[in-house]
Amino acid sequence: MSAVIPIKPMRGAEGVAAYLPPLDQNGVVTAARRPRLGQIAASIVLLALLAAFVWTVAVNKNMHWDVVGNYLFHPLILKGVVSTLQLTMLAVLLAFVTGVVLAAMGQSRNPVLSTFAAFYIWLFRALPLLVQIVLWFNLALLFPELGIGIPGTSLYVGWNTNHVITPFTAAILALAVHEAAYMAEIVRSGILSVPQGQTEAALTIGMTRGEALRRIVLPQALRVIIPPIGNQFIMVLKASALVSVIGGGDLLTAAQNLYAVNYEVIALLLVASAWYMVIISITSVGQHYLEKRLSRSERNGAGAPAADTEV
Amino acid sequence: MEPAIRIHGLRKSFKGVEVLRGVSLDVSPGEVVCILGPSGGGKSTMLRCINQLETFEAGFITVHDDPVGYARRANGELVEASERHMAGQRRRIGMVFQQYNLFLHLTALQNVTEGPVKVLGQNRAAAEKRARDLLASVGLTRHAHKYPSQLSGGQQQRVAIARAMAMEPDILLFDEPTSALDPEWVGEVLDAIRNLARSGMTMVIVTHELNFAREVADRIAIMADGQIIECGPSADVLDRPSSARAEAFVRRRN
Repeated sequence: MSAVIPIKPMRGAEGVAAYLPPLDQNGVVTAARRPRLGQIAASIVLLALLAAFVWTVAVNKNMHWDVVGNYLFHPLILKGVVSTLQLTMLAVLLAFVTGVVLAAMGQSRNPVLSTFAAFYIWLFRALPLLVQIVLWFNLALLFPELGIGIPGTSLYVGWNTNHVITPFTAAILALAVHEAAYMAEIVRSGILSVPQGQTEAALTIGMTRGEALRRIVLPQALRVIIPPIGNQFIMVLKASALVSVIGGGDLLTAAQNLYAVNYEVIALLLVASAWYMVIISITSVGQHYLEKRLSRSERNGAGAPAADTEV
Repeated sequence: MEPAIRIHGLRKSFKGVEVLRGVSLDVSPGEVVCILGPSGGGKSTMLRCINQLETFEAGFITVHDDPVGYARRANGELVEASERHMAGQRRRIGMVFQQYNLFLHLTALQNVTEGPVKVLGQNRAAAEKRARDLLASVGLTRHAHKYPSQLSGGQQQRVAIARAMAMEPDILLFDEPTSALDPEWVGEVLDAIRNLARSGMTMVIVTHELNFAREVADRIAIMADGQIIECGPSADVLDRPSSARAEAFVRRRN
C-alpha cells in the first residue's frame, strides 16, 4: 500500500523546492499514499459476507436451480414477458399523454379545467392501485353496457361491457388511469422548472400561449421530466404484477399458472424475478442515454462543443 | 404624422399599489425614445404593457393605430382580442429582455429562425440565410451553432437582438438590455443597438445608461412613481430639466 502521488513543483518556487526531496528523472517529487486501513477492513468484511450469502443460496438444494434453468425460457414465461412489456409500455404511454393534458389543464386560467385536473390527481392518487384494478375488471357489475348516444335521438352505439373489458384492457386502464395522476404531477413540475422568461420570449415572437407551451416550454421541461418518468416506468413494470389478481396474462400470472401445476413456487418466482431484473436493467441503460442526449444544450453537455468566449 | 406608438392615460396597479398613474407618451415612426428613472418607477411595466405581457386597468395603447389587446369589429366597435389576434399584434412588436431569455434548448441560429419558420411560416433555408446575415450584423458569425449556455452575456443579448429583428417588427422595445451584463460586455450590446437606431428603427429603450441615452435617443422621458415627470429632446432633459425631481435624478446619475 505505498502508491505514490506525483507532486509537480511550481515554476518559480525554487525556494520552496529546497524543503522537498530531490526530483526524480521526470522532474516530479513523489509522496507515499497513506493506506486507508478502515476502508480496506470494511471492504473485506462486506465481501466475505456477500460471498457467504451467494454460496449459501447457490448450493441450497431447496432453490431448485435446475428447475429455474428449465423454465427461464419456457414459452408461457416468454409470453408473459411480452405481455408484461406491452402492458407497461401502453399504460405508461397512455398515462404520459393523459398526464400532459392534465398538467396543461392545471396551468389553465379556466377554473373549471384547473379544478378538474386537481380533482383527478387527488382521486386517483388516493385510490389504491389494487382496488382500481379489481374495480375496472368488474366494471360490468356497475355498467352492463358501455355506449354513447345523444339524448332525445335514436343515435346510439354500445357494447357489452364484458366483451370490452378483458383482463388485459382492465389492466391497462387501471395502470394508465392511476399512473396519469403521477405523470401529471411530474409534467407540472417540469413545466414549472422552465423560467417564465421563456414563455414571455415566445409570446414576443408571436406565438400563442399554447404554441409557447408546446414548442418552447415542453421541450425544455422534458430534460427535468425524463429521470422521474424512467422511475415511474420501473414502478409500473413492477406494479403490473398486481394484475395477476385478475389473471391479466402478465409475467407473474404465467409463473403462477405454472407453479399451480408443478408446485415449484420458489423456482418460478425466481424465474419471474430474473426477467423483471433484466427488463429494468435494460430500461435504466436506455434512460441513461436519453438523459445524455437531452442534456446536449447544457454547458459542456454531451454532443456540444466546448464553451469559449472568442468573438 | 400618426404616431408609431401612442400611450394614453395608462393606469395599472399590483395588489392595490398603483404602479402606473396615468402615463401618456407618443413615439413617432423612426424615433428613438429612452426611458430613464429610478428603480420601481414603472418603466419596465409600461414597456411590458405595450406588448401585453402585462394587462392594464385604464387608458389605451395603439401601435400604428392598432389598439393593442383589442380587435376592431366591422362597425368600428372594439372587442377583447383573441389569443391568436394578440399573437398577431405581438409579432409586430420586437422585444429584448434584461435577462436575454434566449430559448435555452436551441442554438443561436435556431433561436433566430424559430419565429420566422414556426410563426411566419417561412421556408427554413431562406430563414437560415437571413438569420446568418442578422447574426453577422451583430458580430456573431462564428457562434451560430452554439447554445446559449456556451455564450457570454453580451453574445446572448446580441443573439436576442437578432432574434427580435428576424420578425421584421414595426417597433422594437428594450427592457434594460445591459443591466444584467458584466461591464466588459456592455459596449458591444450598446453598439448593436446604436446601429439599429441609425437604421431608422422605431425604438423605446428602458435604460440606466445616461450617456448612451444622450447619444442615441431623439427624446428622453424620465419616469418616477408611475408618472412621466419630464419628457423632451435628450439634451434638454439631461442638461436643463424643468422640474426639481428630474434635476435631482439627472444630477445623481451624472
